[in-house]
Amino acid sequence: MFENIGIFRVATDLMSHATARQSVTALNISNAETPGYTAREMRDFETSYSAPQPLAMNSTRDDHFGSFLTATKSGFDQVDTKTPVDLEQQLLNSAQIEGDHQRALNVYRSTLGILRSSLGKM
Amino acid sequence: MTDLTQSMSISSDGLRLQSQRLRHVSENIAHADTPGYQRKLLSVKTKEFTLSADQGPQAGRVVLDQTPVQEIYDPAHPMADESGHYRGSNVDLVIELADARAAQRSYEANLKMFQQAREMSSSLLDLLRK
Repeated sequence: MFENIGIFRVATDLMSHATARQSVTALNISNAETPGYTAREMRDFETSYSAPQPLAMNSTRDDHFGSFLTATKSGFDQVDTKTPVDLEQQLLNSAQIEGDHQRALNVYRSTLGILRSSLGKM
Repeated sequence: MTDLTQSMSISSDGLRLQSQRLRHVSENIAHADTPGYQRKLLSVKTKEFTLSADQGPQAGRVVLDQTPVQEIYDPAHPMADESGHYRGSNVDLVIELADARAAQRSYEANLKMFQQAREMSSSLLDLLRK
C-alpha cells in the first residue's frame, strides 16, 4: 500500500540497499582470511537508483561470459573488486551503512507521521 | 530481513572460525614445554568463489608445523640423549601471541558486523511499535 507513495518507495529502497550492502560487508569481513577470496562491493545507491542501465550486461549465472556485475536477490548490483579484503575499508563501509539505514528509517518514520496527521490522528 | 539474517549467519561462521583458531593457539601455548610437540595450524578451506553464492568461511584441516623442534641442552633432563640435548617443542611464544591477537581482531570485526545486523533489524522492528 505504501509503495505507491514515492517517498516511501525511496526510503524502502535505500533501506534494502543498506541491508544488502551490510550482508556483502559481513561476507567480506568473515572471509578476510580465506585464501583466494577477493572483496566484493555494492554499486552505490545513487548510481543504481538514478541511472538504471537496462542495456548493461548482467551475469545471472556463474558461467556467463565477461561481465562481472551480478544482481543480488534484492536487485542491487554487486562487483568483485579482485583485490584482497581491506578490513579498515570494510569497517568504514559498515559505518556508512549504519548511517544510510538510519537515515532511511528516519525518513520513513517521519513520513509515516505526516500520513498519520493527515488522517487526523496526532 | 533475509539479507540481515543471512549476514548474521555469515558473521557467525566467521566468529566460529576465529574462535577455533584461538583454541588451537591456546593449545599451542599450553604445550610450549611439551617435549616433541609440533604446533598446530588451522587452515581455512579454499573454494571457488562466485558472486551468486554467499558463504562464510569454513575451517579446513588442522596441519602440524613442520619446522624442526628445538634441541634443548639440559643434561639432567630424563629424556636427554648422550650429548645432553632433548627434543623440545617448535612453539614460538611470540608467534603464538601475535596469532592470538590477529584472531582476536578478526573476531571483534565479525562481532561488530553481527551486532550491526541485529541493531538494524531491531530498529526496523521498532517501526511497528508506534
